[in-house]
Amino acid sequence: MEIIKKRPRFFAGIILIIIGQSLFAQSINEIKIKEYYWGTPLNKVLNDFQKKYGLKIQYDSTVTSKYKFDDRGRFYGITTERAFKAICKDIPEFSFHIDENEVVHLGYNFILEDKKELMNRKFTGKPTKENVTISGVVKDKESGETLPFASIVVRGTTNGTTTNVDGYFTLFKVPSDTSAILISYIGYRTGTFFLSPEIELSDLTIKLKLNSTTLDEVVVVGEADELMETSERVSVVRMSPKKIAKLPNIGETDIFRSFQLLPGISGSNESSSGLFVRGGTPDQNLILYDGFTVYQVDHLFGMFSAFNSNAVKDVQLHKGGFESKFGGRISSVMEITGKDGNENNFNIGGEIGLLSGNVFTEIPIGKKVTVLLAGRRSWKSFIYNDIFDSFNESNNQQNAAPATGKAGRIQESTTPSSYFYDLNAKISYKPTNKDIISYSFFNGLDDLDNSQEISRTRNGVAISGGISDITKWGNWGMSAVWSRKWNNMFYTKTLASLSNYYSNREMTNTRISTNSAGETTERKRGSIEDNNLKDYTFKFDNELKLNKANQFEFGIQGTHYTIDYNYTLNDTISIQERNDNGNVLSAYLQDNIKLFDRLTFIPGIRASYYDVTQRTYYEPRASLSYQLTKRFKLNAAWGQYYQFANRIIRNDISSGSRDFWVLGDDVSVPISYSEHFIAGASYETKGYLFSAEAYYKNLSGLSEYSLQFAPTFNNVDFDEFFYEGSGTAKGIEFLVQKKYGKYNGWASYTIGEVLYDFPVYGENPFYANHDVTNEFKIVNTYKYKKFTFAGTWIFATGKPYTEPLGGYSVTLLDGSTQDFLNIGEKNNARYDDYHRLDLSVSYDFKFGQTSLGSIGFSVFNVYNRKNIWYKTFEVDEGDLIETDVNHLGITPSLTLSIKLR
Amino acid sequence: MMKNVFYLIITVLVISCTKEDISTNNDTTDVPVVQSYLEPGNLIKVKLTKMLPFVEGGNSGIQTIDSAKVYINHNGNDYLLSPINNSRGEYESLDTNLRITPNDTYKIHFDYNGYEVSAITVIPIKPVDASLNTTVYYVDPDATGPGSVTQEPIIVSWDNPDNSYYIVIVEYLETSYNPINENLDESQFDKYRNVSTDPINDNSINLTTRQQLMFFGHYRVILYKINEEYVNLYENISQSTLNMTEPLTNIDNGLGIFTGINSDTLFLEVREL
Repeated sequence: MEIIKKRPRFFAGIILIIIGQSLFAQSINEIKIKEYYWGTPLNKVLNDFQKKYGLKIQYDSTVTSKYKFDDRGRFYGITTERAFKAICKDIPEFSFHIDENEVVHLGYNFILEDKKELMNRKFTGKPTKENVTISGVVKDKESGETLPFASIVVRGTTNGTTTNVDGYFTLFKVPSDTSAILISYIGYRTGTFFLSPEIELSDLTIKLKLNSTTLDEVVVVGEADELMETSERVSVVRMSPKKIAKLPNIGETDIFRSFQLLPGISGSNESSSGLFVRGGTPDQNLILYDGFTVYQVDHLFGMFSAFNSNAVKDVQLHKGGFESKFGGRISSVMEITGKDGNENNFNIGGEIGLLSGNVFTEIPIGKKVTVLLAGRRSWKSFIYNDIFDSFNESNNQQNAAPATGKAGRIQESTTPSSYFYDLNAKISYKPTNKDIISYSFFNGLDDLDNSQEISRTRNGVAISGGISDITKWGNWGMSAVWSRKWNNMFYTKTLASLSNYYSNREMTNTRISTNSAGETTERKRGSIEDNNLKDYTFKFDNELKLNKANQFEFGIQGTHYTIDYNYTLNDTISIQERNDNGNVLSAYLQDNIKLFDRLTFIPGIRASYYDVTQRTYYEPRASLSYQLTKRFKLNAAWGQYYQFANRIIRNDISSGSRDFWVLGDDVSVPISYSEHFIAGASYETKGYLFSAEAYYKNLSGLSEYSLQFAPTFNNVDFDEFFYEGSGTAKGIEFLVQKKYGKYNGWASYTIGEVLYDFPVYGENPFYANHDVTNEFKIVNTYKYKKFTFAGTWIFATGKPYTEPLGGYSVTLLDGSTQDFLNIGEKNNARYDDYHRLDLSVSYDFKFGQTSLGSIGFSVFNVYNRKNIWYKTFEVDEGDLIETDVNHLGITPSLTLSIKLR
Repeated sequence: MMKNVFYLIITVLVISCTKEDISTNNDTTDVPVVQSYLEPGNLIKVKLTKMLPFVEGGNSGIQTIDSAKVYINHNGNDYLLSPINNSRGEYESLDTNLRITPNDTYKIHFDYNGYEVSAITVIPIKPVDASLNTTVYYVDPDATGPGSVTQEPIIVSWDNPDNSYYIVIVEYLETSYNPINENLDESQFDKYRNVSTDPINDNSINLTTRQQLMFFGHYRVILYKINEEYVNLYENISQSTLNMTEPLTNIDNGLGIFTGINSDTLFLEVREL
């Protein structure tokens, strides 16, 4: 922690001051302060307290000497306790407590619960123990929420660990019981605290304070204001959900969109909030929300992701080479930890933007139960309409909706309606400080309705009915988790979850006519497509931390899938009825081996038995990091990965949804496989991070689905339309990050290539649709007083597309002509380069006692670059006409958010 | 444009979807387009044009291939076609020995820029037992329009034991404009005079006053038995780079269609009630 100094440091050492005599036999709470302080050095204030009121105060004068204090009239006549509260409110990194001897302890914010003494100063005595093991939990100071994946390091060494998903940690081989421990967590203030022989080392509670963006009236400003953090682990990166709200947006803070700003993740996919990680596709990413798999992350055609950032505590992304405890996907893992809710105080807040409204509340019930509820729903504004119209147009273009009448006939007018919403709920119960029982629920839906209704009477015949054109997709899922930290060494987590993804596409035409005799005739034509995936999972994960050198993780996982895909025509004809059922039973074991304080080696293996193919799949994996010097680190990882449930992208989307999930069977739908090789190096100084990482991936069992014809009249074997292919993805990512300060951010450059080889498209490999050669991204944030300015700029090579060689017409038997395009080699051309600048400014304010607010203004695509989304071609009057369809142009948006605390 | 009509047609599956390889032709922009329908009782006619290449600056209309030596091979004999005077790019067979016979195989071949363009087709048999459920159809003009199902439709039926594909073309034989529904746009008269159904491998199809029979008067109803390569023309074509698919064709080293058809003709009159 770096502190802006107001005066030179007079004391080189750390001096413990305990002054104060019990001049009056008065309880501390009976003492009233009768002073005014205006810009007074804090040391003088504390001195005054001791001298004039006989208070016993324990503090580190070298620390307090850096601060001044204004009481602004609050002190006169108030109790000592309230006076210290006021000091700690103005100096947020300070906290105090009064012990049983009525000594006030004031200092940095690391509080040990259960009246175990906080040591924000070095213990002056001699250590009583050497080579100790410490263990405990890291929490948010205000809300009491546990902080997952926070880093804990013995100061001045490389000996460290991270908390697990429940905030628990165990750190071995701490030199002594007076060592200094450095704790950091993204978005929170990093700092040091000191062990002491007086505290219980096996049951620590460490409370970190959020690096508040609101104005502090003291002179110290926050430093560890990271938006993004690369982890100790190879290819793992996290972003602070609290900080991403400061980035430019299109009306909605979005976690997935923010991750698209990181190296190795494609940032030019405006029409998908999914992540294309190192040449992978979004369906190859394992998205875990509180332990359950989420199969679909898109809202509004992919413009936004389905996760409400107000309900999210932590997000980390494993870009590749991930560990054995994760299975079932071949590209990356995104681990999202939902907020538990404030343990101490009721809280409510919300946001209103041009796209949606968002409300959340945190309700502590007693000391042991917390409840979090968050909900979001879109509402129609010009931004929503812009986005909706552009996607709806492309959808209709692709879907070539069955026309219902011919030109010249009466046409009914239609106003499409659509909305999305999502809900998050989480209940956590902590019966003891070793057990956490939680239940998490998530539900999201997109509903798009282009239907029209008919209701009229002609010549005594009443005609009703209409055209249904409905697209609905959504998720719901839930998990129940019991985790227990049995002791310093052993932790278990038991999870049962259910996840459901559904997609429904209905395009039907209904006519109900009732004649004067009251006879009714009903007729229904059109297609209904239904995809319903259910995933029932049981997981039992264990952490066994034997010692510093060997920390095992092992567990089992069982998943039962049912995936239905039904395609029905004209009410009765079932074109396809796929009811896939499958079970995957997996076991894994990995060991986190630390050698010589410099080398971390994590070998692991995962074995999965898949009953559909009746085979066992072995996935050996390993990662290695070597701390060459204190600043310079080398990384490598390797692993093999299998995927059993596949999302199939339809190559022709004649009249259906764009994708659907099926289970692989290794006959018609292959089991996807990939092998990752990763090597990298990073150089980290106090303020900067430089890193480079190279990856190479072999991919096989990729599948694509192409219905060259939408079959009408026959039951057909749809299995014939799955095409299998393989591929390679490779690239190098470079990153420079300025981690701290008023100005921080990063610049990244990725050079990459994704080649696919599908025999159906010819002998030669071709660039995959999402291949991007060069991608440069720069992300900046600058804090000035209550304002935060942010700017992002993305440059990416244009994506490949298949350009037609030419067009021709054929005269049909009735004399009409049909136009055709003759296409060339798959993905033989590229769109123009993509680039885009987004800017934002937000203003933070306080109101009431504790309430916080923020107003944000963003401009998306500031210089209105016309980035091409896709092209259309038509044969017209003996010529070929090419039309560009562009992504969103310049779009401003405004967001107001407020919360009680 | 008939294209709009075809968009509403959900077309038929073809079991084997092979893609034609035109890689033997090095110039990928100079590609011949063949159009020929072989029907018993008619002369063989072939139309040859060039694909419109996708080039900067655009094209100046469709170009024909006028001086090709086009052969039809039947029963091992090659028959040279003659260019038709005043019809550029069109060829016909004047040889009376070349007859179009059901169940026989025909091959077209010609050299183009040094490679052989060819295609094979088999002539289908004439539809069996084609019939209409009535030859005079009475319509109340006040009870028509979208949503009207007050009348029994006209049913065209035939035998189809082997699930072959058929289409029905309805031709309005009157010259005067006499629509059943007054809302019909008169400028579209020519477009609605000849109407085709989508390919179907059923044994009957309904004709309605909404889709096919839009005028009072006499109609010719032609039931065609068609081959797979014709069905392929009804593929859902995407013109967008989001999902571009290659059209199917049975022409080797070229594009277009060379296919046998066979038909039966029925007559129908639509009268005002």
